[in-house]
Amino acid sequence: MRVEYINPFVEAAFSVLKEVLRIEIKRGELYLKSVSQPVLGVTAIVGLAGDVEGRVLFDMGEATAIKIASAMNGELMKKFDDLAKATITELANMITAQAVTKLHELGFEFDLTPPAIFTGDNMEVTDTGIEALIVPIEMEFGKIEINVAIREKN
Amino acid sequence: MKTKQDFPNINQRPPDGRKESGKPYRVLIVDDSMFVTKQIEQILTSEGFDVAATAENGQDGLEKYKELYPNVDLVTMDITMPVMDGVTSLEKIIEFDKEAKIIMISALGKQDLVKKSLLLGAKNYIVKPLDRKKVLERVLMTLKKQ
Amino acid sequence: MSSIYSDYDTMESEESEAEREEKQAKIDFKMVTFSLADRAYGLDIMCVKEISKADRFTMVPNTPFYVEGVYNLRGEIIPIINMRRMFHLEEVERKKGELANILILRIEESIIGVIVDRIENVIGLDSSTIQPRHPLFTDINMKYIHGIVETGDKLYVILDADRIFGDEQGLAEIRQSGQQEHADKETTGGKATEKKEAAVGKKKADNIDQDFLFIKDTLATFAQFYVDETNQAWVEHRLPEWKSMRKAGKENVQLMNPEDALLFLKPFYSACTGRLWDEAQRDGFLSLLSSMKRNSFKVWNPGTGKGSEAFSIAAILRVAYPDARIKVWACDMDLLAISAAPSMSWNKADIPQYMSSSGFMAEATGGGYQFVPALKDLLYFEYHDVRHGSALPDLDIIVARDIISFYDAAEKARLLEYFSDRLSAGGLLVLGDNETVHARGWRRIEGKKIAGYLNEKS
Repeated sequence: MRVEYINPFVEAAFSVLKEVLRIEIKRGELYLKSVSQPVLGVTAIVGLAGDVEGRVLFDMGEATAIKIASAMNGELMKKFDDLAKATITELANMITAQAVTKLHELGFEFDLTPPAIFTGDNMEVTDTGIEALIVPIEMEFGKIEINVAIREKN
Repeated sequence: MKTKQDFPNINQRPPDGRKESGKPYRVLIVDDSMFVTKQIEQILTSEGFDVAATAENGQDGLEKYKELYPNVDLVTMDITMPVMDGVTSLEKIIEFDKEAKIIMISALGKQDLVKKSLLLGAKNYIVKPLDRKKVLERVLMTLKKQ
Repeated sequence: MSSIYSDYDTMESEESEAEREEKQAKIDFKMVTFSLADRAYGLDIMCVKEISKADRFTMVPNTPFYVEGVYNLRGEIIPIINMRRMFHLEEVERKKGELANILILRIEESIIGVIVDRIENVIGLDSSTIQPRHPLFTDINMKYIHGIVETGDKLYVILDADRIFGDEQGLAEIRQSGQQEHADKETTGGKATEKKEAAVGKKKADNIDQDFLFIKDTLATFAQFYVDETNQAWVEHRLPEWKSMRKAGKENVQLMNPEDALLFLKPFYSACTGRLWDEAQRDGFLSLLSSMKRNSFKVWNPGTGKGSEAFSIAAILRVAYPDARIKVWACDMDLLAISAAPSMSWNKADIPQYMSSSGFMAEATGGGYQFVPALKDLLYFEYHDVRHGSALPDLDIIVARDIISFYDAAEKARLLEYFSDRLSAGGLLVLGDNETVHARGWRRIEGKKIAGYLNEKS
């Protein structure tokens, strides 16, 4: 992945999660994966368009997703219902939007496409075969794997 | 999420959501995210606003506005929505009622669309993530301005 | 509505009811479907001879890593390919006694067997419904895919058997060695093969320095440096001087830890490693370009570290060919190093004269010198693992110095194959000063104190 794209995603994830969840966020070491099937249980995807094509995946376990949704809604949620799904989708959107804004400032014309969310029962995410950058995020709610795959439109 | 009930009675001030007449301001929330809609609803109802209706896309928003008119004081309008986006909906609502008070709700990075909306007649905008203070401030600013 | 739409409307209605019905019934393509790592695939039935189940394959040495062995199919010895290995998917151990599912294919004149997870059924469809391949739907190399089709609520990736298995020469060789191996096994029940291999092994050991074998092992263990024909000559040359050096210092000749390995490898690294290329390196590089067209250079520079190499290549090309279209893609797996590359700056003392006077460098805020935007714009730095495929266009030059030696035999072969695939015909590969290629498809050319390899694919 182009090096200039990396920091905006890492910083956006950090800053939005901190602001929205108000708990300690830790970043694990970045690494690269060749095939990037999401595996943890709940995945939110935001597409990227413009100068590039690609997508950002937010992959997490269901328990973590429920905890995050609960924190964001200010109420204890018991299951991963439609409201919880909408909440995680919105989180994915906010993080990606902030990253894209930083990228605009750097001169890269990216655009977001509407987010989608997938859970274990309908996990039909076919992948692009493009290498992905993994940004592991750790916090008391559990871990989130942010998985970014971007290809230049030559 | 703290609501009015959490605050002690000492500073009894009239809720922001009430007009001078005592009646609540009526708000239409147009957003495709259940979560954002709920957030705005919670913030506003805790201050005495009346959420008259919600809509999931610009088309639905336009129709509901026409139904509610003239008993609708404010619209919060998400920018990116399916079927009809917020900017188009804004345009059409203003065509229908040029006094309509519409606040755009946008994710970071949609500056161009926000600018366009303001030029088309939106009164204000709020950038996500939303917090109580920001939302109430902008809403009241918009309602009190003549 | 514009006229385009009205044209389309009239076209639609012109098609008669009968024509439309006929279209629906047309089945002119049949495929055998199978699954591999939870994905659904299809192969043209024309190339599938039969389906089989088997579990005992005869191992054949010196075959590509994806060949599991050979099999006796009613008297004919055929190579058996493990599809998961071929597509670099995670391998699944077969339980004891569990038979593998095999598709027997006829590719050109050869018969081969291919192990898949599960063979499903035969599906007929209209070939016009097959979509062209698109990177969005696959995680195996796109060139192996004929197309994508959706039928019966499932998405199938149709593979191009000829492109995947069509290496006539390679398969014939495998079959020949396989026949010998198999014959041995049949006559003496396996012991003959073992004895033969042991005898050969012993002879080899007698001829090669025992020290060399140990150094080879420890270089791999401590420095991830793999010795084979690409760099063996250098190791053999280095060994005696290393030995005398160590003996003089009363130290062990053997490599006991990573530090020893790095010390042994110190002279291996190419000239100007980690630095901007000097005049000699520039002249050598340019001398290799004489056979290439001068108006456009698409360069890939894997393993560029902090970028000195990539910047050097871009600057040298730009100065030598002021009007050419130049683009240099540079990557590395060291995140810290490659992240620093775009904003890299150098001390004046470390900048060769020809570069500082080129006009492409300017003082940077905070001291040191950087390349000007006009030059920087020619470069594209990526955090990337070369073992994962990437979407590079057809390249003119690949500069991969001291990279392939740090990959084991299987990955090295894959990398070289990838280099060959990505380079245009006649494209140039520059390896490390002490690396050589002996594989088919590469023609060595000599330049000024440097060698390169031209891609000889048809």
